[in-house]
Amino acid sequence: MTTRQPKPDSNGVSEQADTLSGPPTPRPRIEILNPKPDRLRIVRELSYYAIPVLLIFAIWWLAIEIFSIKAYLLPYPHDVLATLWTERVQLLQEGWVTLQETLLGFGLAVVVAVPIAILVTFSRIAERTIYPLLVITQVVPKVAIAPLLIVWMGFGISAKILLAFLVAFFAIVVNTATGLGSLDIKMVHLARSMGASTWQIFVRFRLPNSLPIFFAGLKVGVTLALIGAIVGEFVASGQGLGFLTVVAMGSLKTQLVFAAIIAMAVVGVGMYAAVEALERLLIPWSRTGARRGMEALS
Amino acid sequence: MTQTPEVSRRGGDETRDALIVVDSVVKSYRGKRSITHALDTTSLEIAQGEFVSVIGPSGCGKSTLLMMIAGLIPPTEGRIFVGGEEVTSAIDDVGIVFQEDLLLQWKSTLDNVLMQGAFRDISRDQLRERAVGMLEMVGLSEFADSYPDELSGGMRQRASICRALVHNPSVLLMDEPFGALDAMTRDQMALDIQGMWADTQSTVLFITHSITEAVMLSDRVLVFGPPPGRLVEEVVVDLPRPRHLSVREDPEYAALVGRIRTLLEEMGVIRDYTTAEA
Repeated sequence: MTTRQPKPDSNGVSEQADTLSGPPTPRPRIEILNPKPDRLRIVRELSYYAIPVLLIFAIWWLAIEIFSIKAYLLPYPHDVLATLWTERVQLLQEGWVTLQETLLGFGLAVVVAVPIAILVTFSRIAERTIYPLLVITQVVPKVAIAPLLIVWMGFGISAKILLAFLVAFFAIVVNTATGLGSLDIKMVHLARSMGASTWQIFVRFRLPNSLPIFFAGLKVGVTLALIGAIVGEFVASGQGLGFLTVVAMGSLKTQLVFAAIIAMAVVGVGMYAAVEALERLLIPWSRTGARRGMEALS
Repeated sequence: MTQTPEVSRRGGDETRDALIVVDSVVKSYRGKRSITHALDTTSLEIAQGEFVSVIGPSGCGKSTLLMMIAGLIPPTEGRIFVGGEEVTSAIDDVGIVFQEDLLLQWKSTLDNVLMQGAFRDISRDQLRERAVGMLEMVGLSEFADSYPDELSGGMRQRASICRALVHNPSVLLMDEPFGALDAMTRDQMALDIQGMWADTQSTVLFITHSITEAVMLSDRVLVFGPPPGRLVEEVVVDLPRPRHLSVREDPEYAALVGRIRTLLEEMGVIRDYTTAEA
């Protein structure tokens, strides 16, 4: 089934007299198309990433050729790729550590942020007391408190998790609260007239309605969490991609620095893509494309 | 009240029971520095099965009146009764249509209509059967499984009217339901509303800015004055039903439209953009 044909106007004889009993006057002819499943989507989406990446590599390579940049300042892209391969074991190990820190920090941020966002949505006192606190924690540069956290919590993974949490937390709280508050007050009225209780309104209307904005917060949050974890590794650590970068820089292994940066990008993009995939799975209805097409038709 | 709709479809008489009684109701909002009067002392009655329109300038308390009848906001003074019982909290024997269609984006058209029964003690199968029938009637059968995003504005509003009527409520409240639609879609919607209303026993309160729509659809038009709003005059529409769009060429219809327009002009509130055709 790919198209649906509108009904022919079988009631054309006496449309006005038919309005009460028969089918009403002709409808706008709008056909809903069910496109074939897009099997090549992953290939296509990867190519969206590949094209700019290749462009960057080309400019990078040209810059070295034109300005005769020395290898310890800027190595050739193919040398960096070679390093990515030769150092793959170490990169995977350190990348795994960074991924763990980021995900745990991000997960913690979600678990803490959502209840606070709910509290803020429903209690004006909570909103007025918690929000200023959140803003204060947000404006303090995390790099500044990172050394403190290291002193308190040691060189292990926990200080990095906490940093990832601190950096990601704010974006998730703000977006979740915004999403929960975005339900039209008239929708609440309507739900109440349907006999829904406050709890039912929350679960059946407010929560699903908040999901698109909630996911926007998750996408920002997950990339921020990676930054938090790396900052922690920069300040003091014995493992992770941030640590690897610091060590490689110290011994002027510029190729390895670049390889580590690329690994960070891969971790970040991967997590972002995972959140996006989850979004598509949970809220398939949040598509703006269909609506745009329909507005063009009507 | 001079309610004598001899040829009215409802064939009502003056002894019909009032389903909605608004008794000396006042609504005002207390701000920090001032009190805003939304609705001045208003009393009115709407009979069982009657179709009543409210027309008036912006800010005359029409929507406030509707919300109070639905029990969604309390009156400052006075009392409201629906079906003989005083309204003290949200009533549920009601369907409401707002200017916005307020369909849930994450549910199909049919599921949106069925949402009306989600919190009620209604048989699922019966409700579904009715919902499918109503969508059929307004030409949305083919879109029952579509998301609201895939529907045009007029189609969405039709679905929301189906949702408001699917549980066969005693009262249908509509707050400028066609306000966001273009003129031709509005004409179609007026016919649809009339058709659906004919199939139910609902008592309708219809708020509009359109004099022509009010006259075309109603048994009675209540004209409200500028803020703070109050009932200025009621106009009985004694035209035979069912009414077609051609009723607009009827001299009696034109006279009624003219009378209401004159009333609004006298109050200095010509904000209506559809009166040109009258």
